[in-house]
Amino acid sequence: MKIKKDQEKIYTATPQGSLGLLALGHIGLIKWREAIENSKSTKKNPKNAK
Amino acid sequence: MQSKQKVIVLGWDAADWKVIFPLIEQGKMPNMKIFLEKGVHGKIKTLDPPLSPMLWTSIATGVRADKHGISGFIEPTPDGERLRPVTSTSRRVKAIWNILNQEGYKSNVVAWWPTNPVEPINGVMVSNLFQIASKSIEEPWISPPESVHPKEMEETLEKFRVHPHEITLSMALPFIPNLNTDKELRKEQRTLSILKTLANAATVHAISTYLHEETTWDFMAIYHDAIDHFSHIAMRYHPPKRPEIEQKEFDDYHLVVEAAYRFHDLMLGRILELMDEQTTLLIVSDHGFHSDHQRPLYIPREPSGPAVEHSPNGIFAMAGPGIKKGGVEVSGASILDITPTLLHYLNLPIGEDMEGKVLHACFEETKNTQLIPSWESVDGDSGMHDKNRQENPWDAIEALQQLVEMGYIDAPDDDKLLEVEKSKRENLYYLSRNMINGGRIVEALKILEKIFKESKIIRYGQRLAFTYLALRHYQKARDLLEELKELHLKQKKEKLQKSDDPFGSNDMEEPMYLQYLEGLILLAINRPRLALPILESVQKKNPANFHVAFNIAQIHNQRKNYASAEQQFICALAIDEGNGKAHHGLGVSFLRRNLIDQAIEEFLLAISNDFYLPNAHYHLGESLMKKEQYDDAAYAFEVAIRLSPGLTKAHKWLHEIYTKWAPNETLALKTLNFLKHNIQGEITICTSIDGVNIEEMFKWFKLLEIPSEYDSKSIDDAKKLASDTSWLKTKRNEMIYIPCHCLSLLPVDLNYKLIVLEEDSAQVIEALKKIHKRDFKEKEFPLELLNKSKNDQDKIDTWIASQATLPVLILHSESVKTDAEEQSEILKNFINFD
Repeated sequence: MKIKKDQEKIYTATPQGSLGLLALGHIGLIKWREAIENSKSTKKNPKNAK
Repeated sequence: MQSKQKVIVLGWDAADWKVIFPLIEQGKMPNMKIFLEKGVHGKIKTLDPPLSPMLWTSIATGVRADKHGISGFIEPTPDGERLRPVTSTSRRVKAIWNILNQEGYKSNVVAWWPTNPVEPINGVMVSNLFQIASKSIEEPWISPPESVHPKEMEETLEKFRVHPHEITLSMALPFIPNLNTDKELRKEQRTLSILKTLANAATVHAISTYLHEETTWDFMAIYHDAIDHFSHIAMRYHPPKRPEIEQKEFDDYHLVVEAAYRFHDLMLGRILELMDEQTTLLIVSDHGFHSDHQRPLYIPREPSGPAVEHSPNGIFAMAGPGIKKGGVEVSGASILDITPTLLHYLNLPIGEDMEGKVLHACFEETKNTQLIPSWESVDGDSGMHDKNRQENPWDAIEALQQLVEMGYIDAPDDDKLLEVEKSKRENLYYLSRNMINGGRIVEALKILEKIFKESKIIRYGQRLAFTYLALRHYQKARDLLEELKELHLKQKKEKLQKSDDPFGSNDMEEPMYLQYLEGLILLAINRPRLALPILESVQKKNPANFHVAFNIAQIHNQRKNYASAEQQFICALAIDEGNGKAHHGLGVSFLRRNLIDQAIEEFLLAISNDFYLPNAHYHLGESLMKKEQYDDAAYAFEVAIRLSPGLTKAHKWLHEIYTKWAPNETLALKTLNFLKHNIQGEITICTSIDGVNIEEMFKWFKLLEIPSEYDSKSIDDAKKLASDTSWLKTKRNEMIYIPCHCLSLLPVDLNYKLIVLEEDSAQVIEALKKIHKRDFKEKEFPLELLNKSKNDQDKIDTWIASQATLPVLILHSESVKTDAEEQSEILKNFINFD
């Protein structure tokens, strides 16, 4: 599932998430889960940090 | 081709303005504020009983439970062995998305109750079971069968499910700030329920936004149960703190409800962001939720007991093209009105079999309502389940039972059958309440008589007694009350109230205690002095009950204690500020004390809350006469007559206005003609069962100087009613006696007032023994005479029930003896001869 370009710019997410992120709906969920994945891979390999 | 108007219906179960408005004022629901300013909003009346599956189906269909088929939370599985959440196959009529399907609309329906198994509509349907995680996050989360249509969409949507274990501390802190420091709190059942509810809401919302953005649609229906769930978990901790709530619990959970509404506001913000200017959004709740002094002190231990926390007024708000703008308030809405209003908005006809109305006040332009007999007979692909999948699960149980009896299948064990049987009765009980709420009292009575006879459950009996009262079957109500008292005592002795079986629970539904019932029966049979202390004692136990305060106020008005009546009506209005009848009663208490301005204000409030109150219009007219505002008074009387053509007094006032105060020959003549030809007059009649000492009563009437007639000639005239009714019209200002067996001979072109003369049954039987010259041995039970009395009483009850409007006064000889002054006052007020 692709996030539209304009939405990509607006929303930022942390692995901790927030109600605001949940309220964004599917886009918020995608961003939040990406942040979690990103954080996991960063922990495993700090070079992967985005 | 003109594109279709896009509509989103957003269901927020249990949302209530009493929580929303304060949060808006504090700046905590900014999106709701913006949305309200763009359109119309108002309170929406729920139905009884306020149970969600039944109500959300009424919202989506415009009909009540006896027509749509969803009457409770559960139904039996096809094997009859277990119970399951109610399913979509039990719905017998088209939901709005089925109607739209036939009309070429494409719909997305998300989590609406009950939509499992999903229907094959043109669009996407995600059932109300899809978002529920039943296992831990480590185990595979398998979607329930048939919970997504089309099936190929299932995998995509599964990605948007949020498991309760995924909810982070950051997300939970706005609900329970102490989670940060108190780790024990994280294990609390209430905390876990809050996380689960939040996860479900997030899932429903994520699926909705995905479908909104990534599919083509004309109509979306999205249902959130979260406000209801959060409120059941934590409304008791919502500020202001009540004395019985422990400080620690209050500190831990007092923000849950506020956070829930703020989260919904955030989700609403996102929906508004995604909507274009051409889309209409309607937000609706099925009922409200008591958040103030009306919060119940305890939850009855019975099925659906938590519904006592629900309040009768939910919310609705609508904005979009063609909808009035600027935050206009619309009154008089019912949840049955949503489907008719949306169909009208989309230029589609309303089914004449729908029970709701179009809320025309929402629209900028008025257009005529198009009608068709029924959408059920309109052919086309509605996207409903195949006819042979639709079933009444309770009928399926009957069929199953037949197969068991014939030996084709093994019987489920007794306990399971008993459980299914109890649930069936409970569902019938809900259905009967829904019918009573819709005015189908006689049909409800049959159901209640059946389930009470089978179960002897006091709750069912109480409702049955209230139904007898509503139908003015006073004797039956009194007999049942005695039976219920005995049952109550017996159950108390057997300590059944300690049983774990909630179906047999002895808890009373508020305000349905036996004592309340007794008070109302006494009130109905004109024993206000006896009724008052009983109702006052009920009120002490249940100060937040509207009906008790209202009944007490009515007694005070009846007894001319207008200051006390005022106090109680104000008390009732503090509980239900929008109750038209209470405003009317308060107005009468002012009018009778000559406080005319206050009276007018209350009558106007009564009318604005409930236009269909003929007496409120009438009393408004009477008040305006005192202010010498004759044109306005005439208008009020005209409206009263429109609503109740037999309101003789209003016709008289109008005649006086048009002849004396605002002369208008044409209208005066018209009124006079109407009085002459249409209203043949009002006759006050007395009746009784055989054996009552009528002579004594009529002597008393003479003493009171009430014109009355009781002799052999009048009895003969009554017996001749079948062939000659002309003499009746000469008795307009006179009380006449009609034996109970002649009541059915009375002509229909007259209005009546009825006085039922009563005496203690022992005295009646003694009199009957003399009349029928029957000697009974000592201790011999006079069954034959009792049966005769019962038959006579039935004749009276049946005739009363057959009259559209009939003021009835019960005069008991004992009351006349012990309280002649009060009874004479009541009698004179009742007959009110010219």
